Amino acid sequence: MLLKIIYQLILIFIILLMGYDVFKEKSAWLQLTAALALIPFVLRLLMIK
Amino acid sequence: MVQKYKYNQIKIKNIEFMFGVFTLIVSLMIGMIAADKFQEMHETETLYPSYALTEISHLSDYNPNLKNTNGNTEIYFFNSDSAGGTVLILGGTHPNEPAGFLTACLILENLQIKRGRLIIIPRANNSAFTHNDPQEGQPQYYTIEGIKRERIFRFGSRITNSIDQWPDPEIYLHYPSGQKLAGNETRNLNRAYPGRADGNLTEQMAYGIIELINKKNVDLAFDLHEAAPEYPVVNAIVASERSQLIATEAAMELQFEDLIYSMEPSPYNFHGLSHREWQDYTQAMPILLETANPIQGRLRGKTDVSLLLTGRDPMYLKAAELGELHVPYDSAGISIEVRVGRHLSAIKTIIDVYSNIYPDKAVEIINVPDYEEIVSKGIEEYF
Repeated sequence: MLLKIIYQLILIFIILLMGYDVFKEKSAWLQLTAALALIPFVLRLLMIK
Repeated sequence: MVQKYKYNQIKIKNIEFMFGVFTLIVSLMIGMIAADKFQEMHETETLYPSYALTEISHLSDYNPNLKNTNGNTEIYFFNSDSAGGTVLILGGTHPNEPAGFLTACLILENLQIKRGRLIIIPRANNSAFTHNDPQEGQPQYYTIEGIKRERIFRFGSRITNSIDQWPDPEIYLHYPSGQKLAGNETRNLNRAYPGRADGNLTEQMAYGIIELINKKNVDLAFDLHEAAPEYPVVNAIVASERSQLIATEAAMELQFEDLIYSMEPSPYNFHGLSHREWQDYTQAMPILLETANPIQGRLRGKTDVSLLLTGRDPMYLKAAELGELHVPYDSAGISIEVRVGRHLSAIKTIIDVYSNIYPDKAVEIINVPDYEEIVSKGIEEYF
């Protein structure tokens, strides 16, 4: 259980970094890439996939 | 000039911000669609048991730790009015082996029982039905246009969903033998027996099945599988020391019907397998049946529902011509009817042989087709 919480905290940290990147990237292509890369991390955080 | 530059910078930043919001909304929408599709995989297809059904219980009745987990699964009991033996049929140990699951479903929906008791677990590893093996490109569903209704079945994975059991160890140490296997085998039900009541989810399932066998005094237990045509243990009956006699006699009888089976003894020192541990931890006679299924093989080409149902694949035809397969293979493929039919004929013959040798523990089931019937009429006739 503790391992799962640590895992989810790591996921939240990565999601926040990627979310920040979505707004900070200068290139629209990289913004889009960051937003799409977020999907599997969010699904994993919610323990859906 | 400077003011105009600053104004442009703010405008660009605003555009970047707005585009960021837009992409987040788009990714959220894609995520919601994906989440919905993944959640759909957790829905179990409705089964329609025959009138012979007397009771439905759950694996959690034999291991309460499974309650409210994806490892819990339905157990169907078919009791006759005449005393006799008890037979257990396990489908869906590996949900990427559809003939095992469909055979259990077909028996469950068609049988009548004259003597003894039949117990069926169609989805032995329920969690493994809720996802697919990564990087295999296998279909998520397949449809059988049954004469009663259209049936959509899940094609799942060999192992428990990592959502339900995580993380995998680097090396899987089997309990209680200490045998070492690859880490992800810790989620393989057919490597988890005898299991532990409070072990990982797969061990809990295995423990529940062992408890069921012991508490219900199961005499004869089947575990239904499929394997790649290039795998040596295919079209095979795997039997332990206790079940070797009936399995051998059944294999000889099946040979009269042109159904050739190789007899494989359950290895003494390969732990976690159903036939090995059912032998060592229960009183039942364990039997594992294998058919050949190209959709699981490494040599396959296009991987779709057609391959799943027909077993026709040009790559396997080539492999057969080169003598690389362990089963006969031609342009007709190995259809789902052939694979399910082999399981059905083997089960019926083994039960008959068992009943002849142990008449006081006889089990008699009727209204279940054999190989010839299912191949000639099609699997649709029985759903």
